[in-house]
Amino acid sequence: MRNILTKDINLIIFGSLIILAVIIVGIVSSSEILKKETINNQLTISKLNGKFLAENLNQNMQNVELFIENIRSLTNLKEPENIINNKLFNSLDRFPIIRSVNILDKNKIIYSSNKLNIGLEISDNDFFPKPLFSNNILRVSTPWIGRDFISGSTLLSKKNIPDYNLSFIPILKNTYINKRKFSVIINLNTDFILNRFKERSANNKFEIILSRTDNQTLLSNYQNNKIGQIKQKSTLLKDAFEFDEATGIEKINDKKLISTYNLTKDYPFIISLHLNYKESLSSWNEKSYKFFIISISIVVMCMLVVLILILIYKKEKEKEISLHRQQLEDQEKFKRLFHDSHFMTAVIDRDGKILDINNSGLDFTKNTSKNTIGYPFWDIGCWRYEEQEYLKELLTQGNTSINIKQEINALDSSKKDAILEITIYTINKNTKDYKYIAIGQDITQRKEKEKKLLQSYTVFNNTRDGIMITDKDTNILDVNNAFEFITGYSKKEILGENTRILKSNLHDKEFYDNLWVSLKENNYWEGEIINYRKDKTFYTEWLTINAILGKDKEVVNYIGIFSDVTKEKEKEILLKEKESVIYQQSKMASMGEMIENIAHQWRQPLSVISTAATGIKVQKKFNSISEEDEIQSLDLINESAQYLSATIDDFRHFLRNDKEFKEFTLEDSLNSAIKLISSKLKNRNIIIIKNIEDIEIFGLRNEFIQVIINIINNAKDALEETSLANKYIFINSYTNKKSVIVEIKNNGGKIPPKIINRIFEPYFTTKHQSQGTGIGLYMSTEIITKHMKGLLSVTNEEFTYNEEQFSGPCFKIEIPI
Amino acid sequence: MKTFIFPILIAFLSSLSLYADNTKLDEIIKNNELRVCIWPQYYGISYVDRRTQKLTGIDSDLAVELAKDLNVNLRYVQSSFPTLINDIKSDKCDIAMFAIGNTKKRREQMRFTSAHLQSDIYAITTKTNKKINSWDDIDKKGVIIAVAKGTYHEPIMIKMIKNAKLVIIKGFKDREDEVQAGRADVFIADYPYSIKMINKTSWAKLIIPKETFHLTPYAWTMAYGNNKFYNAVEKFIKNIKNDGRLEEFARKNGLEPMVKKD
Repeated sequence: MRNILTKDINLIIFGSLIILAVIIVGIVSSSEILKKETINNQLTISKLNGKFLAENLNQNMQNVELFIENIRSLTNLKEPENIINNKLFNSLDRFPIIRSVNILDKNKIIYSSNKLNIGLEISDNDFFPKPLFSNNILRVSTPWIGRDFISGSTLLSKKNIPDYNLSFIPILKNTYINKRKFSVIINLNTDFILNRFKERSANNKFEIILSRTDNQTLLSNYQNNKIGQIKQKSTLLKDAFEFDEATGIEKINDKKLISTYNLTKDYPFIISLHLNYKESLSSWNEKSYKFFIISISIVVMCMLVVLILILIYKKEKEKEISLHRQQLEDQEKFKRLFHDSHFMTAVIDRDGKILDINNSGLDFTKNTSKNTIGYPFWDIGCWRYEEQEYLKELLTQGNTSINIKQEINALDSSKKDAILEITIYTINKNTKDYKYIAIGQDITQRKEKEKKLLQSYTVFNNTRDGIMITDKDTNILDVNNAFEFITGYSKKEILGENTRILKSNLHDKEFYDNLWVSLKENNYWEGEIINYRKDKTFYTEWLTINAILGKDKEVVNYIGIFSDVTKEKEKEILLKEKESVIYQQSKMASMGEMIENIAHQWRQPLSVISTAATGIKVQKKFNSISEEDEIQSLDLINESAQYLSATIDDFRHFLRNDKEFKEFTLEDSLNSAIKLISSKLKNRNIIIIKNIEDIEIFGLRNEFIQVIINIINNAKDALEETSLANKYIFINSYTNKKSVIVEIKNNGGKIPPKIINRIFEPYFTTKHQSQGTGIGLYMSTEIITKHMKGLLSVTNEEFTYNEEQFSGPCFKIEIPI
Repeated sequence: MKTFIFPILIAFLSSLSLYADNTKLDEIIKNNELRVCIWPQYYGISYVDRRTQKLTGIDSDLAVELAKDLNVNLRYVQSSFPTLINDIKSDKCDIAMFAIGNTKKRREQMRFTSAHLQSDIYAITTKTNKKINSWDDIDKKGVIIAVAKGTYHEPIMIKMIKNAKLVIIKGFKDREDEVQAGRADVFIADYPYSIKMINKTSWAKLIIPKETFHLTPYAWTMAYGNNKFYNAVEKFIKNIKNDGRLEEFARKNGLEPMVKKD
């Protein structure tokens, strides 16, 4: 835009300069024309003056000639000389152009108006022209300096003529007086002629010269001292000889002159008028310069004004064009927006009839434009009766300034209930050509979402878990009611605060480092954390933090959801304490059983020792014992004592509270367990069938043995209640890729389905209180699942052994490798 | 006695005539002077400007040429149409050279050379005269036409004019004065005089005939006899027509349209 404007300005300036140049050329040309006109005027003035002076002189000369003619009637030669002279003198009263009149006889003045002239001899040689045929023509002499013949002299005798000197011009004509031929010489008064010249010289600007036709200067209003000079005839003067007058511009002595030459019609005179060309134009030049400056100033000012107007006009025009273009674009945009808008839009006339409707509107109403345009807006098939009536009333009441926005019920293209947000407003307000624009948006889904959002917000606010939403810098943006309840902070207090406000400092730096590493790597962290409440008391929460990422994968928000697990933690502690008690109870029970087992196991060796010792004593007493027998018996005692010692070691090992995780072999641990309760099994005729793989296990050996003992004890108790002839306990072990599996089953019959799922519960027992505490299997489950990360399960099985059909529970221990 | 004397006089005059017939040219050469009658007021032909006393005109120029061809001096003799015949007959001049219209009346009295110029008749009126705008306006009732006495225009106009009043003016200058003074509406002139009026005055308006009105050949005249001289002049006329001098002097005097080429 700026470039276009600069370009336009350059163009306008260029055009203006051309126009200015043209105008200057025009002004200069006009000035030249006016100059020519001025020169023509000067030429005309010169011509008119020349003509006037020539005619005037001719007239005067005619009068002079008549005066000469009249002398014959005035003069009578018979009269005395004095009278004639007086008559001549008196006759000059009416002729100021004549200085004196002289009558000559053969070149000698015999009568004269100036008596002093009488007797003077005047030669006619100086008179011009010389007659070709007739003598009776008026001839003109070379001018004389002085007042009259008596005091004057011809110019021929003067070299320098003083400017102030009087002069006169003698003219000669023959006349007859009393039938005698005389010459009459009239001396013309040059002052009289000069005054006439000065009257016509236009403030003495014109140089007016009176010459003879041989171009001898007789008189000049400028340079009197030039009189008598015979000048060369200029071309212009030659033209005047042809046509009696000639006016033009000529150069004389390198001076440019506006010249007019007039020949008197009847006499040998030339009137020349010269005007200095340059000086004649000086005034004009000065005026034309001022005119030029003023004209140019006016033109420049006008052009500036025009330029400014053009620029303003152009700018306005551009704005108009731009506006027009914008309007067209807007129209196009509007057209596209109108038709492609997802808003349903309709243009409605003042009678409520649709003038145009867009595609969204047609889609919603499932109509074609043909079936819609021209029809009332309330009849487009998406309104129920109530809305139809409302719209009809609204659009037909002639309101020229409707502007409403509201939600309105409608029927969508499937005739399902929908909610429209409809805006109806008037365009061309308060004019006859007003129209309505109806814009509708199907907000059914939005409404649903709002509803859900409201529900979600209700959940957010009413859930028992505390929720806080922070920005990427963990400044708290929102919290729910539970947060307020758990932390003691009100929403108002906590918003804008950093989550550090909750930090308890009970966790070390590593804890928080791990938390942030997890968040950064997984955008997720979950764990237990102890924070401060507002009252600076601790609370334990199970906190889940999710990082919400933006489009650029950068964290936008963190959402922390936490539950106050303080009470659970307390319960857990209590449970642990309880479990410890149970464990102790279990341990004590185990010890009881162990003591019982020890007792069973010790009974025979003690019996052997007792018998052997008794035998030795008796035999000693009777001295019947041989040394060999004695040694044999002592070996037997020693052997039994060794057995007892080994048994004590076994029990001591089992009962030792060994919490050390270490590798142990499955076979060894199973054999140890069987050995510890073997006496009981033997007493009850229970046979253990083993199929054991020797596999290395990592874990707590004694606790594993305790689990095996517990399961075998339960099997023993179950088998003890049966009357089976063959009581078996099968112990199988094998491995798969993930686990070591030990299966212990018996043929003591199935566990009733009602209780099979409860047998691992603490204190659950089917036995008499004297027989069991109900914590054996519970502890076994705890050991396998929690201590060894394995699984303990039970299923009822039916199986065949030695071609006999049996059924019973199968306990399955899975320990990850 | 009278009857005796008369034949002797005739014989004498005849001998004189015969003598004249053969001696004119020789006389001119012998005297080394050619006397040429001119009418000094005939503008363009033989015009003496009274203000300069200089003679201009085609015939005065040709007179110089003739004298030059004859290798004699030239002397102009003042004449006029009214005095022309007398001037020729009284041997005032050897030849009259001022574009003399060849009319029957004149031929009876003078010997005409071959014409070298010709002119129609023109009318001069004033620019302010509202009656006369074209040639057709001249011969109308109420119009006064001035014509100079002695010119060949006089008989022609007497014959031609039927409705207008013809005024015969004695002297040449007067006829234009009559028109300028309003005493006449037009005066009749030939081509050279018309040109003069147009060039020299500011009031004159030239009325040209729509078609040739009366073309009159202009020539020079001399006394009858003088064959040798006559032939010399005829030869001269032939020469100036051929060598371009005629045209040259016609051009010089603004009379080109008047040149008569055989």
